Amino acid sequence: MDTSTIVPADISPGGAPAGARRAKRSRSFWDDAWYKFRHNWAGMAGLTVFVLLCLAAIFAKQIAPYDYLEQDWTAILQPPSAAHIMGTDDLGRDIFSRVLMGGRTALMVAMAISLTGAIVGLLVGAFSAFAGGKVDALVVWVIDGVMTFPAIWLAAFVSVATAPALKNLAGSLYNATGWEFLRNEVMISYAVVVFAIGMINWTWPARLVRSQVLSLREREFIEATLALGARPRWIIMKHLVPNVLGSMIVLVTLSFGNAMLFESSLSYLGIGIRPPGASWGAMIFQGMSKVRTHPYLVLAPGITLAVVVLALQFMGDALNDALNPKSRNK
Amino acid sequence: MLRYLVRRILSMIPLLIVVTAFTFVVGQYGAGDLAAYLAGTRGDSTKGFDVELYQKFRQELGMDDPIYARYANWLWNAAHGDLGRSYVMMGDPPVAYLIKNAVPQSLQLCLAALVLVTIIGVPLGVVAAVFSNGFLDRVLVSGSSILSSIPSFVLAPVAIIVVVVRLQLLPSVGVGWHGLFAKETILPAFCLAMVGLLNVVRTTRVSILEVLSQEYVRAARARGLSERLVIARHVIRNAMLPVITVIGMTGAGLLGATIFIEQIFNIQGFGMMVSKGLQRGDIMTVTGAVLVSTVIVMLFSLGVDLVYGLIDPRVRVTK
Repeated sequence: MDTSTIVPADISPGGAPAGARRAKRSRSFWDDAWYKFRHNWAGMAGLTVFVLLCLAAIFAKQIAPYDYLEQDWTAILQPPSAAHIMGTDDLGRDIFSRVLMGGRTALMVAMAISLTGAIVGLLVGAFSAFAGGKVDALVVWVIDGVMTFPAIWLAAFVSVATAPALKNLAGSLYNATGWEFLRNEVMISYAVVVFAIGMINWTWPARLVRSQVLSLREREFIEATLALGARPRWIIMKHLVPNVLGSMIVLVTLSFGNAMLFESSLSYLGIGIRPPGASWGAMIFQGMSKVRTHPYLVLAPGITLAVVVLALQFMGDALNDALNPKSRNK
Repeated sequence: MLRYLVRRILSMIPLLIVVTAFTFVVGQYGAGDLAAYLAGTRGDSTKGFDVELYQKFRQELGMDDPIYARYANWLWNAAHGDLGRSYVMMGDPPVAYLIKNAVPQSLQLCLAALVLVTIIGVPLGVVAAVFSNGFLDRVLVSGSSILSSIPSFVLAPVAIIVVVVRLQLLPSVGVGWHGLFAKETILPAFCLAMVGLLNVVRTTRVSILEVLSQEYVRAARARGLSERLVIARHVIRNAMLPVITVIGMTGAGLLGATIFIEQIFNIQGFGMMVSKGLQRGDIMTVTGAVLVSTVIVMLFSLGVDLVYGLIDPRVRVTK
């Protein structure tokens, strides 16, 4: 690895003399991370799958051969064929089109969850570390408490318990504003799922940020910067953020996959995305009763979900190797 | 030791109170008006909504009391083994009775899965570490990544199709619980175990690698011990602490995943009870289940701590 920035003295501006080594621009941390990531086949495979998923979700309406809600009573429970590459379900809907729309759902929900999780976690973690003392102890206690409990149960419970309340809220907002989407049941179920999973998802970033802030605060270079009269804002932007960013990116990637899995799990349990909204989990549940005779009903959304979750897992691992060289196991 | 135990148990109580208070309050407000539900379903439907009956149910359920009084009342009863009744189910069965019938199956299933994940995951992690960054390491780690990434509600039906229907290696599960050592338990336990496999393999691998780089390992090698002896005597024993922690944490995750596995394998356990309760909006059952599962998870982590102390003399608490 060549990170030399020293330019040999005899290089004239006109061009390097024959034999002299061309001075390379030094690689920044991000160049270096990208270099490492690029050479990790699992990470690149994960990234490819993820990009494909994003494209498929964005252009779902254009790619899908059928409307995802269109019922064709002449083609019920068709096995995969040229006309329906993943077959049709018991209402004659094209499964491939539904998988595409399910991908859109999963992506949207996961994006909302991991973004809010990262922001809330960042704020809570930083606040807790800076406040210290009893406040800090309380926050840590809450985080530990949330983490001891089986996460999927908590999400499921919150989802069930808050759904009516959120529906009422949306109803009164509709009365006040007249915005049509507030009456959309599918939209409300999105909000419920995001809220329920978001309740759990903030704990990981919060823990990470808190521990990073605590350890940074003790470091000499921060003390030195403070002694030089730096403002808190400078320290946060120039020292804290760059130090946390790498781990944060890894965490958000991993939590993205997790959020997708949770969304599907809730929908599978029948308390997530409401029909007619398409969700992989709900599709798997619907196919379950016919799994022995029509396995593709479960396999098509199931394999898609598994591949995407695995891709994000591989991507997160590769990012971790690239961005946190110190934590890498030999 | 006894004092440590007592202090640990006492320190659990605040968390238990907060968790149950949260579920109780959120559940009571979120689930809608139980008295209205009862008056609507139990009353004479020809007469329309029976306000008198509604008031009677409100009184009976103590719904006119402030929420904290109701919670305190519920908690007091819970401490005496009464978790209220499930009004959604036929015959209003007591929640405690339902839980008492459901928990043993799930605990046995989790135990079986935990044993499986340990006897599969730990050796795989050791092998991966010994051949670290080699071909075998990559295969083992990505293999367990794949197995753990498949959601259990996909893995289980696929496993049923392949193992039970096509290959006919194991008998069909049918209905109910056949006992811890029945052939029917192998598949659900295995599917459940896969949930935690990656974590166990990974932690074991990293932990072994860390110990391998220690001085005393080099010293043991220098003394001329065979590599197998070095690993067996020096490395594994010292690397097991983080692994035990992770296995302990996996236990809680496995309990959570029973919600899918029990439904797919038709086991009338705790997870089945919770998933049905959630789908029916049976908030009393779910609140009771939350209390019991929190206690189980806490006792489990206490158990892990005690094992920790037994294995590592340095952690043993002296006070």
